[in-house]
Amino acid sequence: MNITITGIGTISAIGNNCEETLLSLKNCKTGISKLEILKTIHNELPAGEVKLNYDQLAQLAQISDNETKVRTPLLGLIATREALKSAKLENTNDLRIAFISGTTVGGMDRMEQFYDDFTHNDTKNSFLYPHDIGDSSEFIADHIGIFSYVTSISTACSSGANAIILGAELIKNDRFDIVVAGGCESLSVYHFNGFNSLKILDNEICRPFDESRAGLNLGEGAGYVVLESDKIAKKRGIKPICKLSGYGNSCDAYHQTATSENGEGPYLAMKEALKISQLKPQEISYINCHGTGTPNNDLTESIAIKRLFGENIPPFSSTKAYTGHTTSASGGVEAVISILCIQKGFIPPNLNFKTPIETTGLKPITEFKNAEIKHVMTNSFGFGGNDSSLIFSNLN
Amino acid sequence: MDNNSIYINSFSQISVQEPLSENWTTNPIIYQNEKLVKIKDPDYKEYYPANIIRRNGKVLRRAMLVSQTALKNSELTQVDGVFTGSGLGCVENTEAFLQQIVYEGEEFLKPTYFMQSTHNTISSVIGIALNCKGYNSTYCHKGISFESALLDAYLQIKSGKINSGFVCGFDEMSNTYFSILERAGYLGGKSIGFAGESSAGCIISNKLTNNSLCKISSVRIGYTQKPEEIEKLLNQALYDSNLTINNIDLVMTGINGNPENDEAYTKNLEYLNIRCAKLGFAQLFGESYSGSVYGVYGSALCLKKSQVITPLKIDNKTSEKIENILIYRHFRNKDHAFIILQKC
Repeated sequence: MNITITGIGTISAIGNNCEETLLSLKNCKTGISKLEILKTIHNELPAGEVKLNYDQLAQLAQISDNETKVRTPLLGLIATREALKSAKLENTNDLRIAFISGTTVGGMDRMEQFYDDFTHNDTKNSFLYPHDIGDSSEFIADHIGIFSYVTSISTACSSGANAIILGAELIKNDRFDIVVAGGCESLSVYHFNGFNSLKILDNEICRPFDESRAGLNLGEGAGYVVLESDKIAKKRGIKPICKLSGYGNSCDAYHQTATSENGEGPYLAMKEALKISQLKPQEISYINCHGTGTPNNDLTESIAIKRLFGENIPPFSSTKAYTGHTTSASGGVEAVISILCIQKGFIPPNLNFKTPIETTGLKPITEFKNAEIKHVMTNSFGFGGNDSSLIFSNLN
Repeated sequence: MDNNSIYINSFSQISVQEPLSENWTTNPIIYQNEKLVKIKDPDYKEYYPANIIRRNGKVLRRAMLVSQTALKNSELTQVDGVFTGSGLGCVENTEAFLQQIVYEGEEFLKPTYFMQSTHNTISSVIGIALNCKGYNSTYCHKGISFESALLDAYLQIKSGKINSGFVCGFDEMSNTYFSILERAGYLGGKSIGFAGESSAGCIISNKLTNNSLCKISSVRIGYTQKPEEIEKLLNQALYDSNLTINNIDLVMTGINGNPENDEAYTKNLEYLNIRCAKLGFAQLFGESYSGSVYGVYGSALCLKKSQVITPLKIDNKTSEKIENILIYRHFRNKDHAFIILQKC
């Protein structure tokens, strides 16, 4: 059985949908800029912010004006609607459809705005619900209304990728016909300060894989894919965009925030994905790297790639300098970008790269390149060593 | 031998009952008139050096000890994956960092609380504790967090992708977060049960050992508000187990004293024609998002002992035999999970 992709949807700093995202990638246009929406004292730090306020997001998400607006699920709902539309999922009768969503921030934006009220008075009770991760997923699911299983995954920056992995397993095990999976995450004062306190935010636009890289830029957004077996897609009369041919999830089991020196977790995740896809390393046409721009990630990811691919390292780049690091959404957002690469035949260049990392010497793609992409690997590595890798393949 | 069977090989718990012990089955600690009870932690100094204890917050110490104890008792030396359910993750550190931001501002924040505040911190600490570099995932979906983790592990073992896993539920509860949940109507009530914390987990595998507690014959989870859809879900669970509803000897429920929660159980159990003796875990261990891990634990022990563990009982019905236990968990009557455990 092939797990096919029949729909995609995304929103991030480089576009409110797939078409705008594609255009930004083709024009090498970054979405990282000065903060306008998020209110923090650290506004010297640039970010990949979606320049829409609550009301504008609500309008795009097609929710009524009197509903409680929370940023993460609104971003998620916008991308989910686009994914469903592109999969032409209109008549859902008799289909078993699940929704698997990854996030970590959840409703933290409202929690930090109203925390004092929630704990001391009743003035903000219209916003009073627990704002946990499950709330975000159920908000999206309830507005769509076609799902017979909803669950949430939080593995930090690999949440979106792990949601897609679970989706594939649910279809392979015949639990569901169709699974909509991915991730959503908004910026919050909470994690902006968290990452800042770890001293891993760059005050310039990030430079993945460059010797001078000095950290990441946070971003926000959502990315979802519609997964279904080739049999169901055929029955529905839908031509799939591509297939999910491999996936791997591995735990570095080393440290809370740093990756092991030899990149063991990333190596094992990529290796597992290759094994499931039954592809040889040299068959990978392009790697969309995790490539956050932090000294630790880019070094250990490079080491892991060298361990797995040896001398024949496929073309690779990180798209973090476009979108910023959309954390829990990144697995979903970058899955959509990788699928666009297959669909439209291109490799997005790694922005701001000049000098290779001295110890590894790896050079990413730095010019926009039209190319037939048969198999793309996309990596998502999370805090705590939750490492995942996906491989999407064309249908030829 | 049935090659496709999945067994619970061991269970370990730290809770409001005596930690790492089965004494609660005969001598339970009874909590009355308390809204929120927090876990009784063992003395971690007996298990870990001081620097390890210092470096890891409360819920992480629990996770290390519960996972390592479960593995030790399982007759397995290694698991292939870690599957964690946690509705709120490391909520105490999350709140501590949030309070610093809200009340002290953004200027002088230290990373200590933040570093141990993401939901997956627990599962990655378990990965380190069990030296497991395999699959590792964290499910955070309200009252079905543990069930979601179990479903993932169950399917991966069933399909032969892996042979074993550690499946667990961890939640801590701060006083302020409890007050938010209580005001939102999720928790709190009168009759039985109290809000609590969870810290328990099991080793499951396709290998039957002398210590195995029971067989897991089905895990089904659904999202619906229609009774006929809930019934369909139950029928799938019964079909997986080759049983009819009349074969179910006991039903473990999430009845916890919250009126909205308990009314839905009464109504749904009646609709589903489930008339056997009812069990509960919330009166003994407390309710939390992943608290139903204690329901699975209690049910598994009943099967191992072939008897009803009296403190779990919440009605006066009796059961002739203890061979098949249905565990039914709903959350706000939207998420519904059925697990069937069988004697092995």
